[in-house]
Amino acid sequence: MMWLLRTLVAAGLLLAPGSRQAITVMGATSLTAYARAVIEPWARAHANVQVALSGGGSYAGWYAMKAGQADIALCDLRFDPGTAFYERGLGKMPVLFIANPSDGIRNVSRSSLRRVFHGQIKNWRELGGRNQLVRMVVRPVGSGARAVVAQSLGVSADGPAQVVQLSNGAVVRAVQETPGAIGYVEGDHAWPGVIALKVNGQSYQAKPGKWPFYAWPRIYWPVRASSAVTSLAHALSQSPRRSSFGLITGVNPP
Amino acid sequence: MNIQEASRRRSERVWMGVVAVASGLVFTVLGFLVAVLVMGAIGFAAQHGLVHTLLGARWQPLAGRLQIGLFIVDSALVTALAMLLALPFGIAVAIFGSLVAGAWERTVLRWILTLASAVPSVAYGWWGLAVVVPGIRGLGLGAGYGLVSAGLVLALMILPTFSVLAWEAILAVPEDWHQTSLALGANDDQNIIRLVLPASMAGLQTAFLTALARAVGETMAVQMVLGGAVSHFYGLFGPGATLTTQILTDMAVLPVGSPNHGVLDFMALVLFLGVTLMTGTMGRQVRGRGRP
Amino acid sequence: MARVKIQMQSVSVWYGAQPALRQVSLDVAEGAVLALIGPSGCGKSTLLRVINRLVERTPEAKIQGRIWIDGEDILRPEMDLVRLRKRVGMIFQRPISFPFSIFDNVAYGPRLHGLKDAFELRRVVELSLKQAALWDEVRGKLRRPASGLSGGQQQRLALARALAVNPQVILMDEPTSALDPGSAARIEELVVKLKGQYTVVMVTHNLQQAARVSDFTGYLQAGRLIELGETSVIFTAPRDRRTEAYLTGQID
Repeated sequence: MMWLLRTLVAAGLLLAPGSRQAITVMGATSLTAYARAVIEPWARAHANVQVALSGGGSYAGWYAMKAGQADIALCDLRFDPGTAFYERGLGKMPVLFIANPSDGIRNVSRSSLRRVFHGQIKNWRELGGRNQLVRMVVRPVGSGARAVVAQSLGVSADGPAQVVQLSNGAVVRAVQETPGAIGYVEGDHAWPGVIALKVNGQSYQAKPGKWPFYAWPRIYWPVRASSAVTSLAHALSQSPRRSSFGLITGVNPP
Repeated sequence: MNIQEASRRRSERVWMGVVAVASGLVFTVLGFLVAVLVMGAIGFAAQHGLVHTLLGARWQPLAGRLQIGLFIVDSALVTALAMLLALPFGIAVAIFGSLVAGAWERTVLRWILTLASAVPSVAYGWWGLAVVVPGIRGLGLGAGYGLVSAGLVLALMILPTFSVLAWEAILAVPEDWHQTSLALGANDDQNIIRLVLPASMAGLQTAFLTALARAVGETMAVQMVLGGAVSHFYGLFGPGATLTTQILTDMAVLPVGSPNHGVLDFMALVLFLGVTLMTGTMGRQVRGRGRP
Repeated sequence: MARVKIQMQSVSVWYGAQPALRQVSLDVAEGAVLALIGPSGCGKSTLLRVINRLVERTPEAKIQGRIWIDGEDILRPEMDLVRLRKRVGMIFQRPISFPFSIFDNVAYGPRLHGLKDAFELRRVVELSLKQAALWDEVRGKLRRPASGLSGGQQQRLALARALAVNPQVILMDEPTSALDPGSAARIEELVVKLKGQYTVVMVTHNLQQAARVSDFTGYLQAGRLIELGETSVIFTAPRDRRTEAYLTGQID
């Protein structure tokens, strides 16, 4: 039996933090890919620090950080940092509207879009499209993309023509599959099998500067943070790699 | 006492110790889990009111409107649909496998069922998205996301588990009972309906309850095809949300530490108590009817 | 001379390639009790099960030869098995009661054959339980589970269940070997009582039992019927050496 005890003790010692410092970064799933790209080189340069990254959403990150369980929160929604936390914008990230090709729609006016997400337009025929029932594919409450759409168009109604999907990818998939579908996704990725709608004749791809729908991702960290946390937070908020993850830098939040 | 005997005794004592520690650990963890749920749920119920929360149907988690009546109804409907669909097919598969099929068919069927019950639920969700949702939509019954789709996906998901357990229950009917029944002039159908099914009823109900518990608790496969509508009941073909799917969806806005996180504990506890109550009452009925 | 009830002619049974019964020919007189004795695995049970064709339940079982009951060829392919088994009841070695009430156990057969009338069912159940000498012990408790009965009572219940479909032939496969001596004696009494009204074919390991209850005894060995004759003759003056060897305990 002694060998078993020895093994357990050895395993415990290996897993114990020891002298290494641990940092937890948590928050919006849409930002984890970017965070990972920044954390990897940063962690190589700080060999004595171990960084854990997890999703769970903006709220989860914010509350975990407030409770002291996370050191940096990644958020695509705005929280009030008060005096205890620092807030840094990461730039802006477009929210695109995507439609199933069967809708027969390539361009909508902003007011039509508002009426669609209010549930007032039931059939694409009403907007000059095909005779096809409108099906909304939306993100759950607490998603940054949903907050952007809600803010710029008014709160979207919840109804039988609406399907909730938990991630960007699931929204795209549902819009691809469902005739009459319209949805929204974060990021500038050109998804196959769906139409990225122009709004008021504006296409995001042609003139990003004139596009009206943006999320403003941010990071938060405690004012009383260790120097390692501060260093990682600075790396996250200033990395030039942001542009390759759909973030447009050099702009200030409204 | 010789040396071998002493070392055998000592290793026995050590193993008993390991078993005791392990089971103690399991009970501690389970107890802790339930305690966390109960404390969160009580805190929430004290603040928001039990009846108000259970019977209302307004759900706006960020605005603090947290009524879960609709989720309870949807959970019950989706589960009932799934069980209603799975029951006849499951019994049929079990009867075919245990009594009708030849040795070769039996081996293949058993193999397929075992494989199918090991498929992760997210794969059933994908199947639901690829087949069920377009199918329901093709019939002109809405967008395809809804209670019926979720019931269908769940039914398929629990079918292998239920069939295998029912199969075992039917196999437990002894051969000489079959022979006695046949010797009295029963034909094969009569033998199944009048002897095998009643005689294996206790086992079949256990199979049913196990499948039911899995169906009620399933989250991912249901979430993928259910639609997630939280404000009204839109009919069987309309979208909805169950207790499990809504816990999953709103974990993101009500994380641990947020003011209304307790409602998720409350929902989990409702689910837990519901399943316990259901299996408890049905289980008691079975025991009452069985042999003394 | 009594009428022939069962007539077997050159009946052979194989389980796959394994022969279980070889070229057995015999007659059973109506109302008589025939005891089948012989070492384990000699084909006694197979012989019994070929009469109600339960042997066909065994995979790869093959039957050859002919059997007539009341002159009707029961091995012919178009024979209605339900009708055959209504006429030929069977009791097994292990007392078998279904997990139902006493009443439902006895009513099982009649219900199979379409008897629905509650009054008539009750009459049949009562009559069968009386014939099986169980009525006095279970009257007023017919709704209780049959599993609550003792082993001997369950075996009599099995007899009542078999009698309830009004058979003419009763097959018994070592009906007392799982019972205590007292219960076994009661079953033997019943067999003697049934004599005349029913034709009984009984497999037994208990030679005294065969001697006590049967009119005729057949000795089987390795699937062959070695000798068949009046019980008193077989037990006192067997013609075949092999029978004598078995009876004197030289073969087991």
